[in-house]
Amino acid sequence: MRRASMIAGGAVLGIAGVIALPRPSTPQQVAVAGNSAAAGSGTGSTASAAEETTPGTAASSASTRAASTKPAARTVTGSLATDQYGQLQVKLTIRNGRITRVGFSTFIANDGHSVQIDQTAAPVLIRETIAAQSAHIQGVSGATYTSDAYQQSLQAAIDKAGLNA
Amino acid sequence: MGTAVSISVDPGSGDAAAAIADACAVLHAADETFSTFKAGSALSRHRRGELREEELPADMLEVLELSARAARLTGGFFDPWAMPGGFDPTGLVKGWAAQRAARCLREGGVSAAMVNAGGDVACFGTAPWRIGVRDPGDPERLVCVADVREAIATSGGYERTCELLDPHDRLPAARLLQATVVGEDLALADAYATALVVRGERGLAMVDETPYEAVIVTRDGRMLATPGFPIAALQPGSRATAAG
Repeated sequence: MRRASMIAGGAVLGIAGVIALPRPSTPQQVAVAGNSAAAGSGTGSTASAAEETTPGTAASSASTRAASTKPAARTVTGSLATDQYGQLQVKLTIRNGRITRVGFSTFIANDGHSVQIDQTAAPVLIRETIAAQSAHIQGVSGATYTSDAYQQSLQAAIDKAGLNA
Repeated sequence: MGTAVSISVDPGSGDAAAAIADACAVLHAADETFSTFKAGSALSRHRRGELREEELPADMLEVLELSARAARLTGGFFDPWAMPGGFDPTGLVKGWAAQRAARCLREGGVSAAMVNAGGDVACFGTAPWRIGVRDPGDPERLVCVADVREAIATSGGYERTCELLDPHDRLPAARLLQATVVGEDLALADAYATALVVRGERGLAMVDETPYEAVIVTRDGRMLATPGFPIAALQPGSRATAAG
């Protein structure tokens, strides 16, 4: 079965979506929808899109439309955290004392792919991707889990920003 | 903590980009209404008793009704009213919203799609989707692969985001490592999966009497399934091995 794949992120209950699920042997379009953090305003407005040409790799190029910027936004970067999957560093955007966006300033997966992402969902989807590649499947069902490295870096960024989480 | 949602579509003849945008809007709207993090969400206001019945949004009424139905169907082993912080339908809402997003894609003319909300999957299309069931002991391994036509949900005793309580005595109860349920409605599949983890192996008979099918991993690593579970492949290398 040949299925073109277009993947987008959305938010449910707080945070959300990334993208880059490889479909071996199928060229795919990858779209990333912006969204809000748990404590955010729900007005994520950045989107990037990438055309994937190499099967089995994450999005390799991306163009980004700039978010509409309001005054008084600042960004804070968390500690660089490492786990068995790679390295990541959380970046928060804060406006009026509220987190309006959670992203990554660094995200390097251990399989050597530098992944174009800026959403909190990355640790989950990276794992989905790893599992999907090995079993010729199209998705993974599993209970939600979050990465310790992600939480660690996120907490550091929150502490640095002087916010209460 | 929020959840990641990925949407995969076979565009067919429909305008996939527009349908995906609509599906994302559905998910964001669900987040606005049901966020437990946002003090101003309808759910937060409902939990604080600030909304009169006639002020509840239609989606909230629908989720309340669905919650009551799920509690009844699971014999009370899934009960959003018995959560530590008061009424919390978060588990259901994730599946409910993903299913709604999938319906939105279908109505947008997309011929096949899969919406994966943090491991709870709603899908449609002429052929089933091959969905791996995560190994509870290792997120990079699978215990089996299922052919899924409508919905598949998994609950695990390893979840850290919400501790599973037995609604009957409100004590922590994770009697299984993991339960996965396949069926028509994703929210109910998720309710059955959670109920199974809380109730344990004996819950399989309960699910077997419904149109839903389940596969579970017991705490001693055995894998058991209802006879109709659509297993496409076993993964012999996984830590949980099939029981004979």
